[in-house]
Amino acid sequence: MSIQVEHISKRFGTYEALRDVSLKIEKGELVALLGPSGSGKTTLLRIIAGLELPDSGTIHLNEEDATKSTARERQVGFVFQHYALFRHLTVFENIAFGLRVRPRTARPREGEIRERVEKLLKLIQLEWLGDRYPNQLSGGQRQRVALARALAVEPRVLLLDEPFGALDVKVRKELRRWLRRLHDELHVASVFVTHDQEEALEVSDRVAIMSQGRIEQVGTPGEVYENPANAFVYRFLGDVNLFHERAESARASSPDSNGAVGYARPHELEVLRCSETTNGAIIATVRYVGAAGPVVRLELWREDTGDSLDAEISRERYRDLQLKVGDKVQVNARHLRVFGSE
Amino acid sequence: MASVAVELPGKISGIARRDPRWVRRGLTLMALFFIGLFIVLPLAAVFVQAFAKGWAAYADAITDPNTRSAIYLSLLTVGIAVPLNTAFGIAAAWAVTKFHFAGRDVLVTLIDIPFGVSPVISGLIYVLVFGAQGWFGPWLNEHNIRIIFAVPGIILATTFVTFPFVARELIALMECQGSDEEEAALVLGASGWQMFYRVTLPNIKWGLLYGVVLCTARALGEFGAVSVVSGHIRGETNTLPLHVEILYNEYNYSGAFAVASLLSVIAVISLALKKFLEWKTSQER
Amino acid sequence: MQISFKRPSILPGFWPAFSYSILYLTLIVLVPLSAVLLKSVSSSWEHLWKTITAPNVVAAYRLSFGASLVAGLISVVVGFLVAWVLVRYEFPAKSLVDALVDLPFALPTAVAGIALTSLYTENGWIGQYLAPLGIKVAFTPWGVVVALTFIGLPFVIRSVQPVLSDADQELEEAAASLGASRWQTFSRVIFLLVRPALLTGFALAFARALGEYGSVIFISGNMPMRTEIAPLLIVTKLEQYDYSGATAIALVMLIASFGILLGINLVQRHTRRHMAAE
Repeated sequence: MSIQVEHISKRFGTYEALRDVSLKIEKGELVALLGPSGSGKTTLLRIIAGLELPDSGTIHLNEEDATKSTARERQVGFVFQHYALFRHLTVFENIAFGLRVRPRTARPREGEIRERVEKLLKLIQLEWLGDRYPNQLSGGQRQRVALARALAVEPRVLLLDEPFGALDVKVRKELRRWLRRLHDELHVASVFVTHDQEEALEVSDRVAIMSQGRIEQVGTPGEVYENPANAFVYRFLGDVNLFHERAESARASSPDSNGAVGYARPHELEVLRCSETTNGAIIATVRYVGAAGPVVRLELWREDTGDSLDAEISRERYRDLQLKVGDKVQVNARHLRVFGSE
Repeated sequence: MASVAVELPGKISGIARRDPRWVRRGLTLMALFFIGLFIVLPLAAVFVQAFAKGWAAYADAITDPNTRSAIYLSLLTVGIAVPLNTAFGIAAAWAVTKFHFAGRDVLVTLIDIPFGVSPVISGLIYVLVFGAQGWFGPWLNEHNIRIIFAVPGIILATTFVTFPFVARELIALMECQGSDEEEAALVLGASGWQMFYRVTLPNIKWGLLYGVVLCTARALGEFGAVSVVSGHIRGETNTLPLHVEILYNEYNYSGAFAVASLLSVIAVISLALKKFLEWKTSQER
Repeated sequence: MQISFKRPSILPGFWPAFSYSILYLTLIVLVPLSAVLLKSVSSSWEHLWKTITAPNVVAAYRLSFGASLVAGLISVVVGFLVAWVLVRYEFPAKSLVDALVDLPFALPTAVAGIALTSLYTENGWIGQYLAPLGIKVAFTPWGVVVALTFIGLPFVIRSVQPVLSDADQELEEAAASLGASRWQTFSRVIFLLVRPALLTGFALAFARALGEYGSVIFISGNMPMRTEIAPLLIVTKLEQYDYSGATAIALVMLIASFGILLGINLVQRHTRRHMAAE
């Protein structure tokens, strides 16, 4: 099912959570809503689900106007940030809930309910936990039960609110991949909310980056990373170094950007020994060397501006340079991005 | 923060160890002395005095017709006041905890009012409204309806006094539990009533029972308010506590204490139920 | 942007629940209570004043306020001690004792009244030991104080217990490491933490004691000018069909109790701000 969000605005009291937000989600896509807290991503998700009512704007599900329909009518599956499992029901009964509350005419027989729940338990790999209660499960297990419960009613779209937020890093990574595989199997359009850019970029087909109630950019992970639309997107998706001088002296490609700020990623900085200097180069002192890990991280300090720079170089390069704390080096920004003055 | 008790009495780890032994012992004994003095002794006195004239006299006092009608009236009052206040409690807690609206805090404060009003005043206000010289006095007289000095007045006054119990308990509990599960139920396709019966009620059942126990215990034991609106008509408008007063004022001490012992047993049972339900509720938060 | 009464929500049932609650609250609580205000407004000011300044009424106020104050103070001291022992020490049957603390809440006031009277009369279990010392409790203002302490204790204990049990152990350890003696740690650290709860407990006990009726009228003896409490006077006036007199006395009591409850609220709010700032 496709989702079309058009010109949605929402306020809570005097606080503007969403300002004129529009987004299209295609059938079968897995889209991430990415942004810092307060960006409005959860509000947008809840409005799509029918858990909140927008002040203005429309929602179309499969080309039909769903703005006025209730959450029940929209047939969406929603996975809450804190799982919202029914604490007094077993895992089995939790998953069966959506099927059990159907009106008599639409309700499957008890035998069929049992079959479907057991299939889902197998899907989430928790077959033997059907009789347990939520408080007897780990966080990761609860999350999977919440997902199975949402899937039991065969929703047309799956919405997940920070599904992995409360879990350990390792569990998060596992579940992330598991979610992607599940999505590939089921082909249900899915939207999930996260503040973790690694997660969004790794799992989704497309990413919508949000800030302060607006969508800053929508695109595939590759697109938004390579071609960020503005400084906010760029900064949100990874570590940055800032260059506050005239563009030319830092070898940027836009010569007329006076007073603009140049951005570069740590791995985009070239570090050279001072003996290889050319005129007008940036000189910095090595403050810290982090040599443990897949790349070597350097913290450099520029004397002329007092700025700090973070650089990442390969281990081979590090060996070649033979750097230690206190050494002076030259820094080149190979690919400086400029977004205009802030 | 918990101090873990080790097997040997008096040898506790944690903070307690920091007080010297004699301080601990001394303070504990003093505390136990005061509890004994202020709380245990009066309770014991009730039972001892009740049986002062022997079992036969006790049985007589309990089965006396006036006692029986007092029991009946007390139960009737509880049977009406408690369900009414429970229905209110559920409705008020639902409105207050699951929604944001202007004046919510005011409503919560208003619910607490009966707690701050003296029992006698709680009865007075109904006399002012329904009594012979009250607002509706003449009208009621014309239609031969008696509220004050009759059973309806007693029920009204008791309802007022026990008004906040269920509501307060539910508000605290439901505030703690949040609305996530209800939202989940709705998204999964439940109707409003299905959501309430299958999700909300099971989650609040222990808190609800707790509030009901408190409400019932207070309703059975209310004295001041009921005293004002009753008429002290023996066999007709006496609840159990009023009956105790009458017997006492007639110098029928063992009779008074016999009836009082019934009320005390109920009080102790309600304490035990309270403890049990408190424990259950703490698991639900 | 319009300012609406209620934030929209998908949860059902607001209007039925809300309207039923408001209706019920108004009928059972607000309308009858307003009768007190309206009645006092409708009586003449002189009659009101004469009633509340009559000698026996003034004596009753003095007794009610005075005894409640003394009882409240005793409750604070004893209640703090009991709460301390319950939270910090272990002893056999501790949970039984903890449950018993709630007895004055659960026991009907009339039962408490006759039980206390029987204990403190001259041949009562306690009275018999006090009589030779010339101490009379029953049928004197001291009897009133005893009864009011009985009902006030649980308020203090239950107010202080949570604060004591939540108190961070590390504060005491920090004080000790800085060289404070046990007594200093207590008086400078712990006591200050607990003080707001003590105030709240005192105020609750005091407010309750002011209006208390059943526990008191048996042990007090109800002698005019000496051991009559204010609530009793209300009852007496009602029996004489002097509705406005009764209302006048009630109004003063209502103002006092609401004043106290308001005070508690303010103290609690002040404390919360104070604590949050740390």
